[in-house]
Amino acid sequence: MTEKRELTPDSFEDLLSWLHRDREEAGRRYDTIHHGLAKILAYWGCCESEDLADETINRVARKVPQIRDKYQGDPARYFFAVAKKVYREYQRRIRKMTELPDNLKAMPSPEIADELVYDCLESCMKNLTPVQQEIMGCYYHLSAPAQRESLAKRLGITVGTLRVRVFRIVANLEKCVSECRDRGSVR
Amino acid sequence: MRNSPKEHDYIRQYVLGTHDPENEQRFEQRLLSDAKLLQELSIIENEVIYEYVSGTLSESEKKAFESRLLTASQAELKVQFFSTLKKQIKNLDVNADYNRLPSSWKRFLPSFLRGESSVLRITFATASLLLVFGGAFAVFETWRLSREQELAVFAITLSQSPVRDLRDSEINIVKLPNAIDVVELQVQVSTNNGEDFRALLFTDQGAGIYSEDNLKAESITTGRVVKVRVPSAILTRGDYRLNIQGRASAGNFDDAGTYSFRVVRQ
Repeated sequence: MTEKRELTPDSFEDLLSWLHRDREEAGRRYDTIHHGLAKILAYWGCCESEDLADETINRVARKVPQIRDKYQGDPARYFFAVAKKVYREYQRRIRKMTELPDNLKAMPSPEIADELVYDCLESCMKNLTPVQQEIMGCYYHLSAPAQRESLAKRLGITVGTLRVRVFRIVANLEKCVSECRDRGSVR
Repeated sequence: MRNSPKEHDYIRQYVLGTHDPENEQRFEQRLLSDAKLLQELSIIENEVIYEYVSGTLSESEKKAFESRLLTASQAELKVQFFSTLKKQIKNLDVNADYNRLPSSWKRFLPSFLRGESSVLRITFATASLLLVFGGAFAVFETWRLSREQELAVFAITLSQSPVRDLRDSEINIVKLPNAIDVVELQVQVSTNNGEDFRALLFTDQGAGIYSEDNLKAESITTGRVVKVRVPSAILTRGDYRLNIQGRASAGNFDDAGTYSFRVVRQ
């Protein structure tokens, strides 16, 4: 596991101010960078993509005082370059590993995991409004493009907006299921 | 790359690992600065995973998915989630007519107007405003022209006055009745003077009191005339000189005649 050197509040503020002078906009850019890094590292095959994304951000934040006056261009490119370096170090570490980590030796059986996820999802779906449940059902049950176009028209929105709306409902469900699964039982 | 069908295809290929590696770095760098692109990637990921658990991916896509996405840390959890979601969706009582969904009035609009693009909305609003104002202008112009047609017009043909000194010329007498709105001064012009004319009206002291451009010659039985419509209110009792100029082919104006007249009010 990579040694974690946490981001201090001051270095976090420094980082944000480098991303943008408006703190809210800087926060939005930070979120995009963080999620983007985790996504890219996952696609590069990293099992610890969230940790590696944090490591990347930490390293960039430590460099900000030195580079902020000299660096020109989109900060995202700098993050990308550091992410590549972090990934190469990760690959070297992985090659040295010969044993499975301990946490993988005590995996729950697939049947128990499936049942728990099913119960959690059933419970989480009840938190959706009737309209959201109906949209989810229609969207996934009637999946032909013409049917989704018809669904979007009924709602008075475009197919693109419908996809985003469904994506957000799914994201909330995933979060709910993840919390439920971590608890080990439905509330 | 904007969120176009082409970009959608590239993102899907990226998710499956079948994309063109040449654009990969540029695409990945954009993911760190373009929140919408990042969201679109996540949406397409979900769609691919749902297709995978539904068994609707092609054989080649399924193999690509299993070697690409399933090696990612969170992918197995997502597969489990969507597999479970599919079972839940099967249990839902879905109405293909969407009767249980609220129906928006926007369903009558074409899809580009149902969109959330502010550019389209602003363009549509601007076009609508232009139509409204254009329509209002057309109505006003129609009213104005019809109003003009109700005006009392006094028409008179003027003979040319070649001599400048009015006292020595044979001056045209214009006896204006009362309650006349417009005096239409008609002058004959030759074909040599062109098609476009300009009229300049002076008092006998040489002060310019009226002008009009873009006058066209009209053909009548005796030749060609130019009609100059002058508001009656400016023609008080006195002597006037009307100068007509024709636009030559080179664009400059040539003198086409001077017509002197005396206004007498009845």
